Amino acid sequence: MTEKLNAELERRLKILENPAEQGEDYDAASWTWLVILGVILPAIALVWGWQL
Amino acid sequence: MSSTSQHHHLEDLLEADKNAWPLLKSERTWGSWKLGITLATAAAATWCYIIGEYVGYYLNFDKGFAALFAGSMIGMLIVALAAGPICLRFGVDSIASTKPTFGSRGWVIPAAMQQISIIGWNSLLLIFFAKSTTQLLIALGIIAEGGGKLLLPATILLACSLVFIILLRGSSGVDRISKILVAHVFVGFWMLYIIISQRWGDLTAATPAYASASPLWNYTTGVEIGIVSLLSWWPYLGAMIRMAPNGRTAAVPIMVGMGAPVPLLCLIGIAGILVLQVSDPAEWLRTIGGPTYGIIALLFVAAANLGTAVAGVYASAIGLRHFPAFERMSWTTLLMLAIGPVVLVGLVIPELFFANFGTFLAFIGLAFAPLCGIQITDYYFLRKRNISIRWIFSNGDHSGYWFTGGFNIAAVAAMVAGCGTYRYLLNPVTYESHSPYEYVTASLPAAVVAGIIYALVTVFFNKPAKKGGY
Repeated sequence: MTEKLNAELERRLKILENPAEQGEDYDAASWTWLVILGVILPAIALVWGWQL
Repeated sequence: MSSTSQHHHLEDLLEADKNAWPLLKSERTWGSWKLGITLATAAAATWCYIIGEYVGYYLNFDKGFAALFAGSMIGMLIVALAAGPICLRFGVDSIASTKPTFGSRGWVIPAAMQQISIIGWNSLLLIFFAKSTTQLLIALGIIAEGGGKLLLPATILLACSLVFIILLRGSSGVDRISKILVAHVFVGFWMLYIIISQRWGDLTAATPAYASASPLWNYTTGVEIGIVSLLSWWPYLGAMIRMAPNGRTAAVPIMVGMGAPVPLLCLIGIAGILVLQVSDPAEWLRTIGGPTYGIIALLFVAAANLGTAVAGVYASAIGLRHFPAFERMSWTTLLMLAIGPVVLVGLVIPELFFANFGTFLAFIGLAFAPLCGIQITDYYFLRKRNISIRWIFSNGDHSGYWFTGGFNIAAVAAMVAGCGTYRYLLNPVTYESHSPYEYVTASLPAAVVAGIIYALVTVFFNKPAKKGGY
């Protein structure tokens, strides 16, 4: 059974079902930044702060 | 592109950014700077002083900053990994990103959490702004001490009206106001410079008022406050980053624009509470520099809170769009619905709400940590990044995300287990804790336990029963 969606929403879904039309997930460069800023930097801050 | 097709494109975008519909590649035009500025404006508000105040109860200035910085960046990373990928790939908001995990009807659980969180934060910001205004007017002799009873509700109503007017244009309203209000971040750093340069001696000698006998417990609590504060950005994040075309554009703005300003501006609150026993800069700047500094601080508070409230109400309104009853509602009415509860809290229970901020903050950690654990486990480990945008927007039992009656039992069980874990490790009301809280915080284990329970129920129940489109 198919669901009747709003015509504009249906148009958008059809386009976005094509992977080429989707946005991109985090790539290698993004992951590098995420790890630096979200793991390495906090780890350094934790060690530094504890020694103060 | 002809002017007619350009006009149609603009109309589609204006329509889409007031809906929860997915945005197309051509509509997602925000670059790193624009996104970073918008995220910074959303994140940097007077909640930073109150967050800083809570850290200043347990830690001194240096240690407080280190713990808060570490916790904030960890919390931001968790949110970026949880809601980020689906929002960035399909141009959807945070609520839409929960449909593969909570189900075609179960998304109402995170939606309710989103509404409570945003209403809570916005109420806090506007009450803070109204209080600061009253304080300043008393200091300037415009109203008498004990006067201004009508000023608080009037200021809240004025602020809510401004938010409403700005948001009539949808996401472009958020963008425009951010470009102007981002200046407040720099004013915040100036205020920090003032207190550090004039009271450095007092600051280094100050002792935290409620520090426990265990230095480790104090330090961990500083980290925990940082994590839960940034976890509360989950409801805001999707509505903002869906305007960016890809992960590369968004990763650094999320971490630097939304994550880093919070611990930096929290220093104002830590310094204020340690030296002057008050975290509101509108009050302590007046003490240090007289009425002129007080006015500057108040303008800062107004700008900071307005920018954040605009972003919050926008995210809240987009979240409401997922409810069938609000799907076709006019944008104007929807905005009124999103702002209405904030007005009510601000007018009816401002003092009660303001006095229980710590509990509110802990409840956010209790709720959003498991949610993030569930999303990360599902996207990276169980679905291996395979998401159907059609199933996200299909509400019937033919959707792969229908699960059981529209609800995913795995997500519900994982939320219960995650909340239970948090509650065991740290009581959000009394701040009593159980080991190993002092080594692992409460949010991180809550996220991990929720993720494990979610994976177990999915593997042993949903997958064999062919539920969830795995």
